[in-house]
Amino acid sequence: MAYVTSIINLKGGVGKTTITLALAHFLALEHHKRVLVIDLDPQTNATVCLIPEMEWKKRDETGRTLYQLFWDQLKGTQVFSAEDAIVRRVSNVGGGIDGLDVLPSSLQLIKIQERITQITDFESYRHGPIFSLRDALGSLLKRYDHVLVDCPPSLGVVTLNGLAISNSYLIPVIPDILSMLGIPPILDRVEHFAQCTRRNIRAMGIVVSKMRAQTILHNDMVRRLREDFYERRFPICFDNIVPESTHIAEAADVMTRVNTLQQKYGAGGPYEELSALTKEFLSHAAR
Amino acid sequence: MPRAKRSVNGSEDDSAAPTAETRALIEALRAVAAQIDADPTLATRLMAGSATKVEHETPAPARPAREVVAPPLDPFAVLRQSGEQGLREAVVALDLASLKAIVRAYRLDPARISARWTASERVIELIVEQALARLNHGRAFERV
Repeated sequence: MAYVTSIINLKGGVGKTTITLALAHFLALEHHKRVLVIDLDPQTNATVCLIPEMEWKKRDETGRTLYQLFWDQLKGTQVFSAEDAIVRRVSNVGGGIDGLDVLPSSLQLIKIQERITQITDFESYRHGPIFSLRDALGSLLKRYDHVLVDCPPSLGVVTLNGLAISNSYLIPVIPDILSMLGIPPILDRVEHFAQCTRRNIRAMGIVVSKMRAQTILHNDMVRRLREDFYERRFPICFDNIVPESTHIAEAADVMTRVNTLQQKYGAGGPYEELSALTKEFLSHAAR
Repeated sequence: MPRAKRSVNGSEDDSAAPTAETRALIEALRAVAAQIDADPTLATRLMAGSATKVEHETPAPARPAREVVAPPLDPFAVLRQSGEQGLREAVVALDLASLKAIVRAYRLDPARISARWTASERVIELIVEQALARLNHGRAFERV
């Protein structure tokens, strides 16, 4: 059965998509895992980092994105098919990676997520489409070793769909003052959701991203994150850190030609750090 | 008058007096000198070794700086003005160095997989493909 990890933070721009994509690539290519990326974020960034945007558009127009799944919930229809929506052998590395698939998101989710939220009961989670994704995926999850869910920057109903299938979750943070403030509410809400739905959803850890090692503030915040772990307030902070890097930023372009992960992420820096982060992720997932 | 150094035990000593190590070194050099005196070929061999070492330490001459070819055109400007066919016509006449200069200057191949390509046709395809992709970037997100 797949090990499902949601990548969550209430703040935008903290590196959720970057970390999701990096883990997906390294798990598939360096560890030969079968990986599914589920893009729940209406910004659709993970999707268009894995498939060309025009291909996404075609799929969106033909009901083969997650918009259709939630639209079905509102309209009482059953058009969405996860089997048809999943795009196989994605990424620009070597023209596509065997064992790396994506379930695409849609910008149109923005138009309906308010309406979905209105029919959701956030106290007991007894009403609303909390389990739509789980029900739609059914036995498809068995095909994968790892499923990575790139969540929107909220803990709304779309994110809860990701948590409802998750074994664990990761919290990416930029080591600054405001990002730190967002951690306790995530821990509280996920714990509440897990209790109400009788699920065991483990806080796997915090991953520091966009780190600028020459910045005193960033170094100080990383030290505090590690101290908070020892004081048992926070989950563990991963040893490996995602640096602020032009190479990582450029890796988002699915249209550039690359043959290896070293070319995609830049050897002698980000590549080594992301490779080590993936090994650390695997060691935490195995616990 | 300079003050004499005070030793660890507090007594004043004369820093000009040879230490035990200095004395040992003087003895060793005297022994080598005696050997050279007895065997003239040793002097030749020592000098040859020393010369070889000096040769090694001479820094290698600096490589001549690679000539930087300026990109002869802006592929995005040509594409906007004349379309894909116009861009193809503009680049087809260029030599390989100029084509690669365009690729480098406009970061059309950040991973530099085209660095060793020797066929101009391949580089032209890369330029056209990447210029089109960048120019159309985000079009799918319009009017959703």
